[in-house]
Amino acid sequence: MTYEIILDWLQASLRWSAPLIICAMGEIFAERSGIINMGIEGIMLCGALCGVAVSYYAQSQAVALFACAILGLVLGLIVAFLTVSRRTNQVVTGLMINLLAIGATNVIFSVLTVMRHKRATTFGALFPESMHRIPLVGPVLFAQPFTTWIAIFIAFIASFVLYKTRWGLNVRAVGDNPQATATAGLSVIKLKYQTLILSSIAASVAGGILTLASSGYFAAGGMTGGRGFIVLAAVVVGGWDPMRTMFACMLFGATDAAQLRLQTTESIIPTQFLQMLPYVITVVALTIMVKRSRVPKTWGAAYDGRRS
Amino acid sequence: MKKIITVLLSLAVMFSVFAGGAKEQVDMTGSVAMVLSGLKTDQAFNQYTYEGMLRAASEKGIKTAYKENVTDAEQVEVIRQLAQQGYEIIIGQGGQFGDSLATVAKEYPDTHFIFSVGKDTYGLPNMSAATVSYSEAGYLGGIMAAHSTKTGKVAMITGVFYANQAQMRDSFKKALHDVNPSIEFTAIETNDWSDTDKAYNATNALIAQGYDVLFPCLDAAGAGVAAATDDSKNKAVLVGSVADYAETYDCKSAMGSVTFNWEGLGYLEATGELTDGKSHVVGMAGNGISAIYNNLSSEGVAAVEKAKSDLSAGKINIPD
Repeated sequence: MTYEIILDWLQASLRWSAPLIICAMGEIFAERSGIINMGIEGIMLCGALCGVAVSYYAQSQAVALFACAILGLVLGLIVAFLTVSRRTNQVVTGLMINLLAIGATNVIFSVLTVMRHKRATTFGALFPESMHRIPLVGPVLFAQPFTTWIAIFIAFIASFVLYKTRWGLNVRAVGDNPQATATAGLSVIKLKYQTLILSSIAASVAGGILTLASSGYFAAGGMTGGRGFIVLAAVVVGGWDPMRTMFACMLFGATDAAQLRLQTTESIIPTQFLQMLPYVITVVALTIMVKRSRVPKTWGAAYDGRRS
Repeated sequence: MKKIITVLLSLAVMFSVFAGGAKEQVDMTGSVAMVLSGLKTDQAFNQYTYEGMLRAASEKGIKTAYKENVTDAEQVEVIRQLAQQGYEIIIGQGGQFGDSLATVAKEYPDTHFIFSVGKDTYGLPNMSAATVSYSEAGYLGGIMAAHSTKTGKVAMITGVFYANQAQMRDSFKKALHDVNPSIEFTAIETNDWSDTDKAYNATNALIAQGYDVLFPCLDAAGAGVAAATDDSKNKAVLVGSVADYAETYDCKSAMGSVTFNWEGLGYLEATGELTDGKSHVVGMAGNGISAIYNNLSSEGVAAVEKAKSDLSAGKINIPD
């Protein structure tokens, strides 16, 4: 039985971390270009509702994810307009987006009454069921929903784009020295718009995956439960590097999955402490890793093109 | 600029004077106001209690008002505003309203306040409390679960073990023990009432450990438990509480549910029957809870029916 519990924990850890990884990959690009997209928690929430609603009505997860991407694009444009064009405070703008998202999803969901009673179509496993029975790797890897594999694939793609392409180089340059980048003839504003839209699309799709890879239900009241903020921490812990950030997300997923399982043991540790575990680990990791990380030089600073 | 401000201020004063002079005396006899923590269209606790108030209004001709989505920070101000407007009964719908209701109740001794889904009247003569019986619900759920388990391992999932949930857990455990003392019991707190994904994963964690009957006491996140048991390939079944899981979440693996009659509670509160300064627990006798059977065996149904009559006859000792 213990072996099965460990396998289940490993499987849950990967499944849990998939939406975090996807969201984090987009956020890395935004932060590398100097903008902190604090609104990813709210955008993720909107994506969670959009994913379930479109999957329910269209009976297609692909269409649902496409709708999430479009929604992310629109929200990303709004965030980019405010933080890049209007140079509003990035933290305040993000918090505003998060608050608006809670209110908007509550109102929209109150109209979609049928979705409370019917489950949306969810993602199945990528590999056939016969492969799920292969010892160890079967349940841990092959029984994973399609989206877990997509998340890992996206992390590799993000790493390649960031370090091996001209666009990735431009993004890193903008985050470190936007004035020099502008002098070189690149449009700083355009690059910042692109990365913010990318991060919002990733957050929205991650929200869709959050619901469509498991329960197939949305619930009003902020069901993302702070995952967007965990992603913000994971990006810092991962040093704005896609692969390290992916492992930071997996660490959080594993800890959260572990605390649920530890609650059922005859442990003397209070439940409340176990529930704190993922956040304690995040804080500890932040404390250790921040000093070792190289922060984008204009991280969180508004760019004033007139000064270049 | 100064002139404009002076003119605007003068106009504001004039309007307020005329507005005061034109104020009509509205008859507020028997009027009821309900303060909700969520939306009145949430298809759950908030909506059903609100609908109970509307039924009372149509049957008894009561003047009603409501405020929805009231946050913790707004509670006192919203309740005070309703008391100032002269509503005779003010209902705080939810366990989080207790302190705020008590604060305003001290300021308005002629207004009746009802702390709904609570038991504390704060020793105030103009404050009553009313809730459904979580103990009876837990006991009936326990009987259903005990007759549904094959592995002898049963688990409860909740958001947080507040007083009501803890009472439900204790009576649930007692029922398990009364049917079969060897049944193993455990519980998980997800620390979130709306995260369906977390509820889904918590359920999977329990199923992997051999727990084959899940007893959720969650709000909307209960959908995650329903989805996980349906996905378990017959490894686990569910006994619902609060809502009818088979109907609400289309849960195929539901053996049965113990439902709360929130609409009935809202109706009772709005009619003024509970404004005696006491604490009321509405159980089976008051139609506060009901047992719904889906896939429960005939033996299990008979056991639940017996438990219901024993509870009504006072033969089973559970704290309420």
